[in-house]
Amino acid sequence: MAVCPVYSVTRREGGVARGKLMTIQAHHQGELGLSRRYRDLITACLLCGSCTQSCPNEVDTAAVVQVARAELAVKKKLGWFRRFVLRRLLPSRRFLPVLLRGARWSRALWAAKIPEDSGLYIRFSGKKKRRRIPPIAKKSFQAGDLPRAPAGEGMKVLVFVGCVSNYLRPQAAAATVQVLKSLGADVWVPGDQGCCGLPSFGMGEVEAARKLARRNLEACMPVGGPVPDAITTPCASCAAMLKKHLPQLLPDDPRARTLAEKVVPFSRLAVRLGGSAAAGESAQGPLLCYHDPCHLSRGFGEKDAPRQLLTTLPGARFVEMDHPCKCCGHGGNFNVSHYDLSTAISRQKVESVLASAADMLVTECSGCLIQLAEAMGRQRPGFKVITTPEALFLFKFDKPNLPP
Amino acid sequence: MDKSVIKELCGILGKEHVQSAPEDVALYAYDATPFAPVARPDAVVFPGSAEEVASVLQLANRVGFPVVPRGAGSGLTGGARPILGGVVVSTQRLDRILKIDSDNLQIVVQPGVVTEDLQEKVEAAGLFYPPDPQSKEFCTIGGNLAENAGGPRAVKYGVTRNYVLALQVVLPEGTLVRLGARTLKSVVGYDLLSLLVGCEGTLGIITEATLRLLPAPESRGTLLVVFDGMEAAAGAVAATFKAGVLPSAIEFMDQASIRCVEEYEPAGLPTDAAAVLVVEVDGSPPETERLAEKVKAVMEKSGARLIRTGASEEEAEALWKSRRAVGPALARIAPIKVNEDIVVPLSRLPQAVSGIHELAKKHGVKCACFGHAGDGNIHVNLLVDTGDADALRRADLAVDSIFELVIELEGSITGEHGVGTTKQRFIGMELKPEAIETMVRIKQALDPRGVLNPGKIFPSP
Ligand SMILES: Cc1cc2nc3c(=O)[nH]c(=O)nc-3n(C[C@H](O)[C@H](O)[C@H](O)COP(=O)(O)OP(=O)(O)OC[C@H]3O[C@@H](n4cnc5c(N)ncnc54)[C@H](O)[C@@H]3O)c2cc1C
Repeated sequence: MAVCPVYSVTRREGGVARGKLMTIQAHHQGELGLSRRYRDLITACLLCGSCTQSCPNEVDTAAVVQVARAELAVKKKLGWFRRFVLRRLLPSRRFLPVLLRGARWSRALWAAKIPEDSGLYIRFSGKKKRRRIPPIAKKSFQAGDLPRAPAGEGMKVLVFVGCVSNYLRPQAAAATVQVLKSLGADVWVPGDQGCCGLPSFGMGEVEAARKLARRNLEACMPVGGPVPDAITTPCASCAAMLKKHLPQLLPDDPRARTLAEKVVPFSRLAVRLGGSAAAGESAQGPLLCYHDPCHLSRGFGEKDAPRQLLTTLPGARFVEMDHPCKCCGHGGNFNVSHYDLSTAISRQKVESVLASAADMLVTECSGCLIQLAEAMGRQRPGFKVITTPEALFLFKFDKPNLPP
Repeated sequence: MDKSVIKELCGILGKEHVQSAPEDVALYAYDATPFAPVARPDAVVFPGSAEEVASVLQLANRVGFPVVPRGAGSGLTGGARPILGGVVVSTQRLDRILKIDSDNLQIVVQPGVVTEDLQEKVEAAGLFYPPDPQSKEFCTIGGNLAENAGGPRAVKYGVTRNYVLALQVVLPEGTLVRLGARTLKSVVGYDLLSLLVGCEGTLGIITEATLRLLPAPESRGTLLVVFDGMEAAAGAVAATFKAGVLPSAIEFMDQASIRCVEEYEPAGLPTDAAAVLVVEVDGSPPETERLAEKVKAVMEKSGARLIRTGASEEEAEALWKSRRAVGPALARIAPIKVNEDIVVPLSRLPQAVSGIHELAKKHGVKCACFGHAGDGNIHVNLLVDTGDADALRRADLAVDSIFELVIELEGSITGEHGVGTTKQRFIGMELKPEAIETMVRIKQALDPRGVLNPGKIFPSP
């Protein structure tokens, strides 16, 4: 109760772990059906794991909620639009790029230069609420010229890109590649990889997620292909999906387990490669603060590595904000199904960031990135939210501009 | 419940603050009481003002349905469970701190404010609200008032009741009254304020409270004292007071508790010790130091094996953290625990702890004791496996005999958790029939139609 971000905003039992478990139990005892209200309650969870972390019995409420969602998904109670996105759009190799290109146009036409409170913006951002859609990159990261196989020297690192870094924030993926190279790794980016599958998995669309898992497995671990020493990604959520859920989805394929074993979050890998070897504390440059993504701090239990990296940047200073581990409210689909709640939760985060007096916010998950960029943008237009690899790229290796 | 009643509730509170769908009422069918069967209300309402609360109670009296107040639902004796259905009145929207008055050392709050939030706000102003139930991260002030909650600091600073100056209350028939005064003293009329505090939500719904604050102590010192005998540890408590020291807390943990918590939240407690005391003293820095020295001397005399003074603040915090973790840590080893919070006069503590362990052994149940020994309050935990019906039955028998022992030692069967539904059958052990009868008459006088939190405290005749 003290830790649930949803409860902190709603203050209703339905938000909190105990309430979720009771609801699901009542359903299993046949007392509650799969009603619309039941769906609302079950989708109103960020799967952030805060409750599990503070629970002495380590009850994995997020996992229970996911199972409940899978039941909803199978019994088709998800709503056609989301079903369409999760089952068709994300697993499809061709459709997503086309769609996003289209979106880029419509955005360029309608939203780009239109102030947030304009009726047009509100209308064309597709929801009655005022959404700031992050700008879509001109050219996806994967469309660029990239190393597709290991070159032969140094630690062999495979970079998994993820949707956000591919379509919306190619700088993050580019920085990941560049930084790891600068640290002496032998980096490659398989071209055939797709969405990590977490959005589908989180909503209980197990079959769609399995399809994606299969595709990524073939892309990253082709039979007879090079076996990486490490697989990393600028996004902690993708990393968690590959590490934890991919082998669950493909239990019969031993390669899936090997893949999972190789997954290392970006900052942990960068530290291992000597990325925090130290210039010592800097007295100059912008003041950074760091938001711990749930999937990194709780999923991987990793809070130190990003801080080791960020406190030893020659070109930037670091300050800790209040409650850095508190969930930002994105929660993947939660942000779509419970937009108002999600926004209210992110507002608390914005307050912490502003109170810290930081000039820039760093995080290591694409979900957090989008959420916080939107939330910060609302309060402080122009405030920059970047990923850990970008921070290293900009302030360690002193490269003023990222390749597009 | 009739649809028309729900409609009337919607009229009073607004539709969005009334829930009656089966999914929603299922969420208010329980509190933190172990074993308690679910008890679904017909509706849950979230009033935004005292007037709305009053209207709900007026309606209840007119139509005739039970009304159950609820804070965070962290109670351990079933007080917030709507055992007879009806309407749950949640205070979660009444969650504002209305005023911090640093000149008069007072704070005015609504009942839904979370205890720890209040403490943080107050500390930021250099002040201090001492009552510190170990559930403070989530429980509400309204729940604390209704249960007269205590905590480790009760030794020196007392319990919730000692900090209440005035209350705004909706009485069972729906009348809104103000009790008490904004002064430190007032003897006008009966002390109804004290009647409401600890009433477990049966005599009124508290809608606003004016609480007393203290200046924050300048410094605190923490000592960890290790004993080879459980009785020696318990005896050291009374010896401390006799030596003229008033610590701000003395917490007790027996061996089972130590071992369990060390596994879960290690703080370097010696797992071979029979018992430890965690003692806290406070005051100005020289005063704190002097008191710590005195405590040390008493403890040595009482047979302590080892005394560690919490050198740094972090060390002290680690100790307190492990103390707070005992309850949860015990829940890890046994899925079900019977948790009683008995209290005895200080001089009887040694007899109590050894007697309880003996009785548990006799009935063949595992037992761990810890708690606020400084005020004689010990949490007795009987650890039972889920599904082991025989062990459960033996635990029940053990509880009966433990309560008999407590009464024999002139103690009380509950120090802070209240009676609710789980201890109803025991109140006759402690209170004479005349006393119970008087209480029931008070309840009937204030709540003639029996609508407010019915079926609690007193066993049904
Ligand atoms: C882990 C844990 C540790 C605990 N430690 C302690 C401790 O150290 N000391 C201690 O004293 N207790 C402790 N408790 C018990 C419990 O937290 C307290 O009794 C607390 O005061 C209950 O607050 P609540 O807001 O959860 O109330 P609830 O459980 O919601 O309600 C408790 C009772 O108060 C009534 N009530 C609630 N709000 C109002 C109101 N506004 N007006 C009138 N009646 C109302 C309800 O009807 C009910 O009878 C602990 C509980 C847990 C789970």
